[in-house]
Amino acid sequence: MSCTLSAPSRPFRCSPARVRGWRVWVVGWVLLAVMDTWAWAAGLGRIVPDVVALKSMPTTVLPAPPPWDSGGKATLWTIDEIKAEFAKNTDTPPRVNFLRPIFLRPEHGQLVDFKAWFRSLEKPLKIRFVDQLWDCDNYVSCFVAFADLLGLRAGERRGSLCIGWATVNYRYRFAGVRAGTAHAVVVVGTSKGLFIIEPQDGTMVALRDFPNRHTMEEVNF
Amino acid sequence: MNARWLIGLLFLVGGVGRAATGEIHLPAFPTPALVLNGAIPKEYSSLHLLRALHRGGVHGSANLETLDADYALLRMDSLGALAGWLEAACLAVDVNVLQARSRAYDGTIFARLLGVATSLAALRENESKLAIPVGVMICERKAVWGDLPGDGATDAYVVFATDGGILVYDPPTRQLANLSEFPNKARILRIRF
Repeated sequence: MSCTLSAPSRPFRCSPARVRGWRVWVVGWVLLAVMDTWAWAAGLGRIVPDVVALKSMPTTVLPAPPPWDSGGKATLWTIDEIKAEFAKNTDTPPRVNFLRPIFLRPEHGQLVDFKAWFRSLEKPLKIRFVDQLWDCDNYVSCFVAFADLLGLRAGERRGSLCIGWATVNYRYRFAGVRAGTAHAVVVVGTSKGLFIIEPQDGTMVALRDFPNRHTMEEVNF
Repeated sequence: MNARWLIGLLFLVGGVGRAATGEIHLPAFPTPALVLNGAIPKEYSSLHLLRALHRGGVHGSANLETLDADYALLRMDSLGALAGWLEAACLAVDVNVLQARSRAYDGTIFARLLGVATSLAALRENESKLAIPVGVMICERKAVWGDLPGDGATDAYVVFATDGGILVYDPPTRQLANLSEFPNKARILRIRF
């Protein structure tokens, strides 16, 4: 079997093996194109991580954090226990959003140490308040994200850390934030119960002493 | 491409890793590439986000929570760098994102970490005051999505607002889909930017 592929100058004669190779290439490319189109249509693209750009950038060094639960004192709390705690301390309990139903409640002193460590990150991370780009929701997300990072680093598998954040309508001034505004604060469960933290200045009070506890809208763990 | 990526990652993690002093060494926060309107970053309001959700076939504003009024818009071609940062940062604390689902998994952790890192990078660059549109989406997995089963479990993914629309990203599988093609878009419980 032979075939002739038209060419302007001279015919190109190809061997059977070449013909098979050519057909395989064409069929292969068509199949790949069809599969690719099908994959995108089905929402099956995959991201390709790019670390080349990262190599040329200076690394971010965070000071040594307090050891995570070195004494094994963290205790487990269920989502129902957390909800009960809100019901006990607020007139209208906030909605609590969560993915995992079991939470790890750090020993109180450890959480205080973590809070101090977080405050020490402000300078190396060059954190400053910028409306929208870095405001109250970013401060609380940052607090929770670094707590998560320490949990990951410690290989914590018992549950999610009982460290989340809440949206609150401020009726009363608290930790420098004026009344009449919507605000985001950190919510933590420790061995001493639920606490509210203002991450921008480190103020920490028990939920029962938080003046805006009755106007908390949502808590996100 | 994979080999190049692996070599780069090993080099990066070998260089950063965890210091003996207990310090945490993370890769440089990933500066997001923003869509520009002339010389300044294009503004994308929370209303734009809502419209983008509608265009993606997600209806009902109750599903969307925006914590800021105005956002920047990410360029799609910068997402690889963001994903690379997330994987490298997790490796720096001995966590392989690609294997994260082999144990109790909470996708909100990775979405939050990436959102915070990207915002911190933008804060350092000081080129824009707009919020960075990296968020989290929580939904029920009723339909199969690539490697993820349609088992009805509640799952969380990273969402990006980009010049190519709202994109859904699952870090452990590296799957990326436009919201309009996302098979579980009818089961979205919440999207938060």
